[in-house]
Amino acid sequence: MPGMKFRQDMPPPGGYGPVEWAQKIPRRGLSGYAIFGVAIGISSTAWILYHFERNYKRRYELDMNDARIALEPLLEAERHRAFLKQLRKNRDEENMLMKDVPGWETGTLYGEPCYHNQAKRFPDVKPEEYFIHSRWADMYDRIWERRKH
Amino acid sequence: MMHLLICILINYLLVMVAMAFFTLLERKVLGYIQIRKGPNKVSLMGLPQPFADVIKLFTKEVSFPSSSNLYPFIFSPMMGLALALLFWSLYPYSSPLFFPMYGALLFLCISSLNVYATLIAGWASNSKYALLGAIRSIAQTISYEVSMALILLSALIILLSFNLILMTSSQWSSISLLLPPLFMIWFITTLAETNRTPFDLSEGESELVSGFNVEFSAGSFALIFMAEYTNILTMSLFTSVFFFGMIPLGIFTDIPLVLKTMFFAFLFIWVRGTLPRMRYDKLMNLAWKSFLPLSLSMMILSTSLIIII
Repeated sequence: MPGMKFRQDMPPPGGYGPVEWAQKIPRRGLSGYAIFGVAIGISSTAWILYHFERNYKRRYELDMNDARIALEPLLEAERHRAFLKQLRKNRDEENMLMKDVPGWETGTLYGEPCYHNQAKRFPDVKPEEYFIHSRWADMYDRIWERRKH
Repeated sequence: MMHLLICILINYLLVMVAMAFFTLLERKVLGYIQIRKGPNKVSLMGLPQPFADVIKLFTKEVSFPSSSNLYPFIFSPMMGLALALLFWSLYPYSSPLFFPMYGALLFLCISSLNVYATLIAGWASNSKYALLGAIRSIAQTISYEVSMALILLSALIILLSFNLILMTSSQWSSISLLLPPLFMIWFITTLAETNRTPFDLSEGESELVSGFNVEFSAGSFALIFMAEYTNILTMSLFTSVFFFGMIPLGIFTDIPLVLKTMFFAFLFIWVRGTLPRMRYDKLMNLAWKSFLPLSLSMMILSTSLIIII
């Protein structure tokens, strides 16, 4: 076509803009600062509640400790009583077992005391000896404290 | 005595059943994540699938590689499963059979013993793939165990007790709310401890065929598999015990614990369906350069907070 001037195809003045290669994702939810804020808020609340919980637990422990101290003499006495009861049972059982043996004295082996030491006290014997007249199953129940005397 | 034994046996049996259905759950969930149906052919909706698998695996012929060290080869899968089940004697019921005072310490002991099953299995197979897989798996487990112990220590500083039963019955504030970052690194560490998916370098199929258990087949493979899934359930249980305290609810105390455990077990599957495998050096860097300093600083933080509050 006449009258049409030749025009070189050129980039726009100032050059092309940067290529948009990044994916455009709309921003959703809270911002990073907000998330941090919420997390810190929740955990500070939790720490405050934890403070009360720990105080409660300390008071509870104190109470339990006092109760244990108060009960200790009673438990000790009960333990001694059970121990003596078992000794009495052993004595009675031995009396009954050995009644036909002439000259047998209970608690001794032909006159030699085997349940008293030099100080005339009962020494710590093996559990097998202490529960000598029980069935073995009962003995192990007692040794492992699965059953009280 | 018999009473105790029977109760423990019932406990173990129920754990095994839970583990069996957990494998089915995993296959189903992975199926739905990948937009396909999971196993649905065996009988009613594919529900007895795990039992079919077990029967198949245990009736197969057991083969032993001629170069393997026979006794350790037989022994190691059994040891793995025994250790995995041993965790469950610590299960904190609301009406427990016995009261382990130092349950948390026993948990740490057993979880560090767990490495030996893998070690023996990999070494006894006398195969280079198995050995390499075992070495990878052991290096990973031991590295993450360091940070696991430290995380647990800072949790225990806050919990003020080693007793798991006390933790579940009288712990009202949960560590996941007190120190959220601690819980996050704990969960990632448990993923690495159980050699689960983003960190399952021990069975890199592309390089190592199947990792430390290549040479195992039939019954012994089934035992290794069962140990692995029991460990996953165990880890989810201890996550919910240590990090999610709960309010005692009378006879319903046990139910929230079970629900939380199920949620974390599901999370394990979800992670497997979502994340790709990590590179090995990145895994090690994560353990030694991020988690170790982070868990140490969390320990300092929790100790100082305990002193302040």
